Amino acid sequence: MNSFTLNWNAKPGMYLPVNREKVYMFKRCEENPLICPSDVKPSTEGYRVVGAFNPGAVLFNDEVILLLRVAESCIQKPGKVRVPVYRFEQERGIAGIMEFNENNPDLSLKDTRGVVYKGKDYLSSISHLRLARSTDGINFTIEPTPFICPSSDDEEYGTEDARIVNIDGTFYINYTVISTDSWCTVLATTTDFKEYKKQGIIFHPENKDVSIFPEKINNKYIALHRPNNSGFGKASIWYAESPDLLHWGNHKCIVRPRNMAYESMKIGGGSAPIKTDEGWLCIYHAKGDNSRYSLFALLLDLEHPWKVIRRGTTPLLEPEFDYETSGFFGNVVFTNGIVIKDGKLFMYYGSSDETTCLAVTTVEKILAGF
Amino acid sequence: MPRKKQHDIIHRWEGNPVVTMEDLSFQISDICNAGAVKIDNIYLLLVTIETLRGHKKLYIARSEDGRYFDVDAKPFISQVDKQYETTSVMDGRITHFEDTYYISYIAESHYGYRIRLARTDDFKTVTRLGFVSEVDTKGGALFPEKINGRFARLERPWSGGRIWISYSDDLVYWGGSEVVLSPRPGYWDSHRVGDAVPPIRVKDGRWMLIYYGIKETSAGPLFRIGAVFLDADDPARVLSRTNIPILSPRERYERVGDIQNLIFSCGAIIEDENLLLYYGGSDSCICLGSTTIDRIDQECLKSKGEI
Repeated sequence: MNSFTLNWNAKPGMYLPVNREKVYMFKRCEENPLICPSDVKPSTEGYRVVGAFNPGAVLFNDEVILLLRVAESCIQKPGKVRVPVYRFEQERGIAGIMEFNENNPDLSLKDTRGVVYKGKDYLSSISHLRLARSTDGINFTIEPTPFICPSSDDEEYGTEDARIVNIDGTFYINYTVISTDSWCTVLATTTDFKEYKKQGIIFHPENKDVSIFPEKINNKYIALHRPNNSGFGKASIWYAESPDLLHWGNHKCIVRPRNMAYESMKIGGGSAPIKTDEGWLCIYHAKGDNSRYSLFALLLDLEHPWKVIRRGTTPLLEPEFDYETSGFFGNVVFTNGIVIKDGKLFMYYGSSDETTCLAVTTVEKILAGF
Repeated sequence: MPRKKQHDIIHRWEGNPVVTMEDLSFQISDICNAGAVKIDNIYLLLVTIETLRGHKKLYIARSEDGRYFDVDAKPFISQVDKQYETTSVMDGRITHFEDTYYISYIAESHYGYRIRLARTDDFKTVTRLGFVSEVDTKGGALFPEKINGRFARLERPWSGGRIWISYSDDLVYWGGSEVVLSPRPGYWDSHRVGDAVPPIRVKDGRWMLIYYGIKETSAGPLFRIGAVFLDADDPARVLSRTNIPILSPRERYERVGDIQNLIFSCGAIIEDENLLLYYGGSDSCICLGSTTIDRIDQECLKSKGEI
């Protein structure tokens, strides 16, 4: 990787050294993007959907279930600035709209992400989590209403990036909650994807990108998580164990960003690790130069999952196609939802913080490729 | 007319500072932040000392009267873990728990700050337990008894500047995290708060927590000390909170030093109804202040609705 310079605006195949053909580890679905913001009904009158991306994914009753992150902003009116806000009553979030006059002296535009009014931040978009179902893994029916919404002050700015893992018939959903001061990770459970029960915060601020293993190892539940060790190097992937999925400890830092353009900013875990003969296969995201996101493979020891066996040196997937290089936040591919279906690995991923895409491969191909 | 000197609810000892760098038998860079406990009429401080190299370690200081201390020549706790406490150990907070003493301290490495627990029965030997917190977390303080059958600890994750509580059955796996106390916009503790002294159970069962609050100013952060009372069975519930600081940097030894305008406490000793607060002044000395629990309680009650 060091023998040539990367050009982030290059076309597919251009990153390759001379005389070497690019090996694609995934086949992108021809229907990509599978889900666009326009496919999703807004949760609230006056809202518009600006992103339907970063889905958690799991198999349930022969269906692929996606739990989409649906980002919504407000339909604007001339002379006004309108932003989405949630207020909370009895642990229930009620979505609304805050409207300011454009020339209100107390209002200042921060950047595209929000405004500040009298010292308080208002985001231009807030995310909730929405279910979508499919029998073929490609054509999805998206539910008309949210599944998980912000439900308390500590979730005021949204719920994002769900991961779902099936442990003995209970589906554990972890997701990032955003508040005025930062983000942390909440656990919820469901058995039927009709109702869910919030179990509480499992990793306090700032911590996200939590992937829970699908089975106990050495009689402990295991998770990867990503604390934001500000001021002490780049954010890395940590390991933790738990007797009950609610209390966590024995944290260890196990994977740090490498000194390469792909990982120059930070890394973080994705969907639940996949058990293979060779080890636990994880696909993690790396944020590199120019905030470009790509996906890498990581193999952890079956019995000692804090031990790294192998780690890909070239990305499994990186932004190459138009829908990956341009969008709400271009040059982002991010996965937190993988299912194994009919012997194939279906990786659902968010493109450019806007749409949901699919790339397909097999576990064997990934394992043979790094 | 003599000037009215004592503005604060905590009264400074006239002989302050209690321990200075000059009192030691060896050269150091800084001295600050002491955990405190009284065992068999001996007042014991666990003092954070920064060596000339810039690494912090925990030293024991002993006194028979709580005012004049002898500091050990060798550290009681220094860095041993090769991964998560490579550079410094600091801010040891002592919790007397049944027949033993737990020390929660901050371990620093290039991974960031983490809280580690240690245990001692006699302050002669120490058993290190695990790193209990996530990275980037300071202010670990264990409650002196179980709450609803579980261990409880306070901590201050870097992000948000709030005090959190977590619970554990075994001191290894922690969960049930909740926010206890947040900064108050517009107040003296508007920027950040953190637990200072491990929570103290008062007569009627409530928990008294001495905390520090920070206000950002154009001259840098201003550290002051305040207090809250927490619900006996649900310490995430704040019952009352001082709307003014109970101690602020005013004396020269609190204003001038390696870090100016800084007072910071990790420990206090309760004698009858009196509270003896040991605190670091401008990262360069250890000081003593005293008040009564009732006086703090009265001050907290004045701030109804401002919690």
